[in-house]
Amino acid sequence: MADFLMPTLGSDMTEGTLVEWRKKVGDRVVKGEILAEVDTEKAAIEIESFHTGIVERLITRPGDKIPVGTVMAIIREEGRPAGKVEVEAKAAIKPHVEAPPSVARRAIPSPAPEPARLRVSPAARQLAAELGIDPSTLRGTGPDGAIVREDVLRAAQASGKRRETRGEEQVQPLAPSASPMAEAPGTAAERQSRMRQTIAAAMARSKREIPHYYLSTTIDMGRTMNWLKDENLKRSVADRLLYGVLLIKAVALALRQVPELNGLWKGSAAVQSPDVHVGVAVSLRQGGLIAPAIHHTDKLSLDELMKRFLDVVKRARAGTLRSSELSDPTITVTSLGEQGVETVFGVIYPPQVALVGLGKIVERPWVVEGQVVSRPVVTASLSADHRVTDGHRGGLFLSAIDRLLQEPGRL
Amino acid sequence: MASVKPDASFRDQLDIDSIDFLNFIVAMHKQFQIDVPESDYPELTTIDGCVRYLRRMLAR
Repeated sequence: MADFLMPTLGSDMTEGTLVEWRKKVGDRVVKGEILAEVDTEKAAIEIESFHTGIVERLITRPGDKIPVGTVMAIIREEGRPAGKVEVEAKAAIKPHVEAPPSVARRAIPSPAPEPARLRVSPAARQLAAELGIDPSTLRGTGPDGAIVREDVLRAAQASGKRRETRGEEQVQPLAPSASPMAEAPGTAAERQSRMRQTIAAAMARSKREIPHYYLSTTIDMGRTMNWLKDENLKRSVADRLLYGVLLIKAVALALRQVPELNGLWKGSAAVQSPDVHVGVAVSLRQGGLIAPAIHHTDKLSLDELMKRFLDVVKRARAGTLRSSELSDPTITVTSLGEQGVETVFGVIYPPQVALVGLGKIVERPWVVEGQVVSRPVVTASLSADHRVTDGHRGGLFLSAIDRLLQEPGRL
Repeated sequence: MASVKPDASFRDQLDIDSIDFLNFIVAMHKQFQIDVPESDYPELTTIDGCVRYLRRMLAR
């Protein structure tokens, strides 16, 4: 028997709310297949199964708040008989309970709240897209008002839209007395406040526990930008590369030369990762930040990396990331150049041990073969954990990035 | 979109980044079957600029 656990979803997320199960008891699940959808303060996450087998038991229910590490389900390896399952509770599951209506909402002392993220399960989002239904017009019946697949099906039935699929498409209409989905502004503000609190806890922990040191270097991007310009001239619009992808690849390859920066702090020591999974910081439209991993970044071609980059950014903003993308980053890269920032002094995302910041590419006077010329340059910064590396190793890492960017054709 | 000023940078107004802009260029390519070289990107920073560009390209 194998436990299906609530995975670590990043240091700033300690629990998730189960939105829905994708399988039922008796269904076969393959390793890597999505078994559950979980909602967090930042995004809806699809949780993959790490085992192949038959779903023996679903322990948690939609609506439950589940701490990281809790057993959510049991998977029986195929060929084994069904048996008695004993589950040791690893953490307190908070069952979904309807909160009593509050009499008055306390004003949240913050700037004008940005629009809250619409809570839509990934399955509901996909179905809505297929049926041409705008999820923001729907009433959510999932946990905390999340819009789930049945809500989309109900709306489709009501409007007569059809989709050729499975037979379970018919759902019962909601009773007319059900409360409307529209939420009071205070609720949206509270959700935003919770997201900020989650981020605040992680960043405060980082600054409290990680002795940061900072280094920066200015990199001549002339060769890279010329190479990119020539390369994109040969490509169709849909296949063009963004310069950010070359920077990410250079960081990934540089980690092979200074592997101490590619790892996690566990307990009282750093553990180097054998694989390079660069987390790319993505700003969320509703505010906040998330940094999903692009797995095996160093092994991808630039074309593959570009596709994966676009895909992960799209899904991060749509709230449809997978759990492994949040739990697996071995380093984070954040680029604020498009916001006009020249130098980034980043905060390391625990339990990682380093973060690379990239600023905007600017034209600056530069000495080339004794002559002062104008060159496009970028400032790359490193925030690193002084328990793991010293400035010497950090400096070697930044130098490696610089050297790699002088030969863009080899990235 | 009604609140977007046609003669001001819509990238700044809508807080879109290079990924959004690339997606926009790809969509323009698919919709109008025109190839937009990178050297033409500076013309596409405003709604008015996009309209002028499309008129010119589609007239060819």
